[in-house]
Amino acid sequence: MKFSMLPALVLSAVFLSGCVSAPQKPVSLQQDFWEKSEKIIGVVMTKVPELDVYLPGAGCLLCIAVAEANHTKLSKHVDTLQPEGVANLKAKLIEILTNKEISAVALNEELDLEKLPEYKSKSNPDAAKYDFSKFQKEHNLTHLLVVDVRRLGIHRPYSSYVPTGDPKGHFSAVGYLVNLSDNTYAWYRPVEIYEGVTDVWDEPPKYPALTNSYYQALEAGKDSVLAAFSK
Amino acid sequence: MRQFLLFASIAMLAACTPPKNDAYTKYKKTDIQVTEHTPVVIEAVGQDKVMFLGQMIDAGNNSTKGAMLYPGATGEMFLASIITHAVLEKSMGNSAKSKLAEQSNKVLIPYASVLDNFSTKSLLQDSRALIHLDDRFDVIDGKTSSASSVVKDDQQSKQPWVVRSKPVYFMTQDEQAVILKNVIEIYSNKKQKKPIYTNIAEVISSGHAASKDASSYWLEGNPPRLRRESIELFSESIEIAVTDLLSKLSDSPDKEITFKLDQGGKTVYERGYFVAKNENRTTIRTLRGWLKSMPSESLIELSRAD
Repeated sequence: MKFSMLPALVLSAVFLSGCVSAPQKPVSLQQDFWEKSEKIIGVVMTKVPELDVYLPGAGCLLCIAVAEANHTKLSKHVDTLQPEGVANLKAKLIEILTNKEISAVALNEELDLEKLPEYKSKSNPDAAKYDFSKFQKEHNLTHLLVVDVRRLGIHRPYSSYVPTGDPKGHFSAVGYLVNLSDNTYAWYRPVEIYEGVTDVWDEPPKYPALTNSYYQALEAGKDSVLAAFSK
Repeated sequence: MRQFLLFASIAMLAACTPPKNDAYTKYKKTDIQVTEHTPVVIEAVGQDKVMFLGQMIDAGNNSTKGAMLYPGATGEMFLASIITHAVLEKSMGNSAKSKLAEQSNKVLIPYASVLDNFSTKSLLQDSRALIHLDDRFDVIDGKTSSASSVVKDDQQSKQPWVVRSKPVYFMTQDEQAVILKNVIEIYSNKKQKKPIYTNIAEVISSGHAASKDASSYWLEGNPPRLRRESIELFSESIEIAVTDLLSKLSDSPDKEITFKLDQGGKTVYERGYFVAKNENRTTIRTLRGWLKSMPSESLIELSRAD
């Protein structure tokens, strides 16, 4: 049998593209959400990540090694910064919801998304990626509010071996409210904050301007997570 | 191997991108003894007219959100960077930068009549009565002794200290507040080339209550409030810098926190620590050592390190 490259390539492309899932689009809370029937909202957070220097774009192993070697002093300094107030987001959300006279329960467990069964819906693009139904059963909830802080620290883009921009303070999180009756997002908000330095950033050992940028990103990020519920 | 080393060196060097401005004002303080009746001259370097700019309009990139200029170290660079609002992202072309700067300055149009007649010389003259320095200093005029402070006999043998400032004012885009950024250098005598103190003192006016007609607020009175308030901000900036030089601010870097400030209707975050606080005004030191004085009520939230 004669082997033809073209159909093989097309077939591979189709298979590979099938593996890429479209990112979840933001979902706004419906205006009358709070007025609708009684709700019991559980609030849970994933593990707060350790602060790091993120160097996306340094793709190959050698690129990563070179990029990391370039930022050893900065990494050392980033280790001294704190994720101030991130762990308190849960308590703040509970406070905001309680002030709205919504029953809100803080779930003490640390949510590990990897341990939840995956969930797929062909018809609903706002279906949650994981099956959260166990929270309804275990805690008698109508909704689950998840705060998943994914990255904290400093972000600097790379193209292989070469940085393509200055480092910036970085906060990355996603917050979502899952309607446990159908496992869909009633609200979904990705938060990506990058705060740059207005002039010089390379000031070892304390990097004052970049440190300021990190804390600016942190505060702006936390505010952004809370904002949807503060209105 | 040689090629790899060369390539790795280039990559390493590329990581240390050159600063956007060649330098910035670095906080420097020298411990120094001050004797009684030390004469001091206050100077302002800059153009004939007091420099006012519109606070930069948000360029739509969160990395410059709320950003304003950080003046450079040398006079020329300082002025040049102000004029071009050099803090904008590299991605913006020069024409885009100047367009944005031009657009930002439109906020000053209603105040042209005040600003056109506001000279640096009059700023110095009018602020003299408001500047209250440590008792050991006698503020004198550069050329003639002032009416308020007669030069004492022992002063005549003393070289006067020089407080040299480069004030730049910004009007916020919502016209709620005026912000002074003052680069201050202090010399213990006129001939000295290196200052004993260098810093930026930023002073934020008390924002007025939301009003539909902000310009009438700033233009009210004779002289207009904009001028009066600018003079007060200048006096405050000189006072806090001299107080800092004399180590009379309560520095406690271990109590570093993030401040959330309401600056002209805009939320601004700054990391630093308290150095002075009273009923009306709070002064913080930023991580670079710069001083920032603001109305106490504009601090809307604090996030403590603990």
